[in-house]
Amino acid sequence: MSVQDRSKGSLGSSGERGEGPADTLRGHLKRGEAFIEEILGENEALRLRNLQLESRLQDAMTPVPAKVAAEELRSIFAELQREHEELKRQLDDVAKETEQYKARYQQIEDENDRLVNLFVSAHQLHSSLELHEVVQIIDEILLNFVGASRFALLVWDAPSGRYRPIESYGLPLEEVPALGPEDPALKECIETRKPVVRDFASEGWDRKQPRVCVPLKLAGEVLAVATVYSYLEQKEALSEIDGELFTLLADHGGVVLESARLAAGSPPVESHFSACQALLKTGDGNDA
Amino acid sequence: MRELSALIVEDSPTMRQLLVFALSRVRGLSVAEADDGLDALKKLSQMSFDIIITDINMPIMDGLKLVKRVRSDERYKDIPVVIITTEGGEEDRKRALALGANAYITKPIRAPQVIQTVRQLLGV
Repeated sequence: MSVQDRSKGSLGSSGERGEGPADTLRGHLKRGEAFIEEILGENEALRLRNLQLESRLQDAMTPVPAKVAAEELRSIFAELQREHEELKRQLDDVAKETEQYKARYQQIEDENDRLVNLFVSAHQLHSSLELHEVVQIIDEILLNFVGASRFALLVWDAPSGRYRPIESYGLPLEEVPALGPEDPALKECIETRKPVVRDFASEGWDRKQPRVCVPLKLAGEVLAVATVYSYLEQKEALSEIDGELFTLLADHGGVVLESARLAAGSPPVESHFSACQALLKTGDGNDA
Repeated sequence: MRELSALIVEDSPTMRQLLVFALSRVRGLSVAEADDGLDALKKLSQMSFDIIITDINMPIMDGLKLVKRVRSDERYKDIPVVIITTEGGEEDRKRALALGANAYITKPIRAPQVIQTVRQLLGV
């Protein structure tokens, strides 16, 4: 209710009580006095409020001294710089992590490539008992996976005491020299029973000096030797995969060659079970 | 997404197996195999392919003859062809590209290179 409403209400109610004119006038005067006091109180409160607002307005309009403003700006700038440094550090971390992921991805790709080459080579080597197929698979590994352009396969010939060529690629078979175990080209490979890589060059070759000798072993004996004389012109260097392929050929080549040779000479059997059982019984005495 | 298909034309089982392994890593790509160019043309007439990967030196019909036949046939002329070969000379490359091959990869073969080339040509 507003001041005016309250004033009207006070005056309106006086006529209903049946008091004398003097009492009525006194009552009016008293209420008028109270009303004025109330108005004055409210006026004072408004004046104080006005002063407060004026003071705040004054504060807001008063210019900040340059030194204080500069200090504040410096502090804000320092804070922003800190934030910037932090973001830069985070960005560097992310970039470093991305590089690490990229390197790891490349590593996994290389590893996959290596495993695929080894798996396919091993799988193919053991996929046939036909001697000419086994020899062809050795050729394919050397040509397609290693990238050799001239190579040969020499097999041990006990009567002559030499390894004699039975297969060649990129050069006529009759041009491949037979090699003895003491021949400098073979000596290290026969002694260590490990592939020996002499050098790498994409140009020039010497049929007496193979660049790679791989001993194809069977139970530790070197049954044959794969010799590489030159590489495809686009091959730039030997890689880790090449070394692993040579090792794979060394470990499996002799076995698959001998298996194919034996399979070619053995008569067909009626029952593989009976044949295996008979071999186990006569084999090494472990038939109990 | 439609499944894509590749035709590998290669007379060597070792190389075919390596390429099948490599391409099995391209998501959504199925792989068919042919022994030589003639076998490839037969397979092309039986189903549609999105890319052909072929060796050059093959019996019956070699890779270059296959590229020529593919490029002169309205049905197949837009199929991308990748040549894989031992021939690393610039002249061999130019000859193959002039016949219409889209890419030329030399041996020794590395799976990541094959995968990257196929992905680029297929846009996957």
